[in-house]
Amino acid sequence: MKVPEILNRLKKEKPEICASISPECALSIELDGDSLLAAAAFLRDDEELSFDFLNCLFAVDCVDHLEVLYILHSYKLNHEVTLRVKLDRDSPEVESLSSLYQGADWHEREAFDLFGVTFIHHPDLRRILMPDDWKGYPMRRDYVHENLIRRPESS
Amino acid sequence: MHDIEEFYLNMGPQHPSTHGVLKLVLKMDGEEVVEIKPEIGFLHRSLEKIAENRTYHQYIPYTDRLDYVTSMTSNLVYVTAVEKLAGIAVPRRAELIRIIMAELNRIASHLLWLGAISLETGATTPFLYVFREREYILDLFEMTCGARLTYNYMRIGGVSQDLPPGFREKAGDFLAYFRPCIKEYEDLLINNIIFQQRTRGIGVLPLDTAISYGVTGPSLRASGLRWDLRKNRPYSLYQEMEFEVPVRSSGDTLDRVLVRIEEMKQSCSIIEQAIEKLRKGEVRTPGISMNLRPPEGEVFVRTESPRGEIGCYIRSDGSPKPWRIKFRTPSFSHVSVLPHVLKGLLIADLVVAAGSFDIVLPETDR
Repeated sequence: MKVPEILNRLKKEKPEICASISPECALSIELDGDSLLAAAAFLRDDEELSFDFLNCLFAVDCVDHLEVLYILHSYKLNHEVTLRVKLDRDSPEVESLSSLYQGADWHEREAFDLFGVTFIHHPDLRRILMPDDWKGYPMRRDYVHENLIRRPESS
Repeated sequence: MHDIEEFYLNMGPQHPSTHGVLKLVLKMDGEEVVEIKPEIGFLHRSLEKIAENRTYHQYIPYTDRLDYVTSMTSNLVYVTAVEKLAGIAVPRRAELIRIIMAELNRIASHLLWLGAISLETGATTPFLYVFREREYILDLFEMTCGARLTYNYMRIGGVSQDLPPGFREKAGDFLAYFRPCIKEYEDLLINNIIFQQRTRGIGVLPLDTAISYGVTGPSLRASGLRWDLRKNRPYSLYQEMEFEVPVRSSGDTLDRVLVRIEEMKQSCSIIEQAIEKLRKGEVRTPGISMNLRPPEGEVFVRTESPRGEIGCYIRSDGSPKPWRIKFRTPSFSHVSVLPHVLKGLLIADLVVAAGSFDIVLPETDR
């Protein structure tokens, strides 16, 4: 199934979910943070969609907001979709998907570790790649560290 | 009966059998493992952060370090993603060379892993055999690009240089030499009763758990799903190649071994076909700027590495440096499933079962 069809089915079956084709990329569906869990559960359990595999999830810093992207794939139907949730940069919070996909656990810890995204109802949200006592979120664009030197722009 | 207290055991990060710097905190009841907590990050170099400060071309050598056991496939996923983002076509000859290199590297990676797992089951000799065979592949790489481990061979729009004279013959010689070697491994190691007893029924990973945790590649196929990106969502020129996707059903350590052994045979056949299809031609699209500026946008590309599915996400803001790069690496998911698979095993079996996932730590930690 192509992404617009997936979106149509999602909107038809779950009218309360706030979703649209993301303007950034035609291959992704943009969701409201509050409806993420319900939408993901529907995408996984619906017979015609059956997205059984969460390929990965990760955050992107867009300076004025953070985005979390979820790459979903269906082994059964061989189609994929990207979900996009935009979050406030100062208090990024979104529902954890670890109750649906066990693999989400570590990916969410990584997004927390590097970007400071808080995943609500995550079973064990702590740093994973950086040391436990690390200060700050290194993958944010405004992160500063004495060892991080920006190269001058080449012409 | 005595009351036996449970105790904690730190396995790693410096431990000969953890395949790199992996730390497993084990809760033990005598010899039995009650609980496992993996800790990663010891090799975290923040490759994704470094990307923000490099041009698209400059970043290629960093992808070598993503997974040094199979640099060619990490090169491949990155350049494929950039090409898709920037809309760059790749000459046919370059695509075929890439497939030859990726498959040779797949064999080299599986060989290294086979050597490691044979050591873990107590068989020392096969370790020396597989290194002997791997050497032939490294020689082929060396004559092609000058390096034996971190190749930096692929380029955006092709490969750095054409195959050297004599490559075709040498690769043919290698395949003729190597095929009987696989039979030898089967006779000496795989069919050995001790090896079978050490691996059969150990570390069983059911299919639904594997999918839920995002386990991919040979480990997923050993659990019973016939899924290979090269076959099911072909990239490069894999749609032209004829090969089988080996699959097993029980998901134990032995099945993970057998799937990889079978994959080496299939890779031999793919290399043969790709060499057969090689015609004279360009190996690199000309006219790609050193300060390549892909249009604003994003891309996510998935390819099949020897360990499983490796994905590369790139977002461009139209400048010569990528805004964000993210690698989805198979070993990351494989380490996360370990607590589930290894629970209840004896400590000696734990080492074998964990090794059968072919975990490579630089790829996990990035």
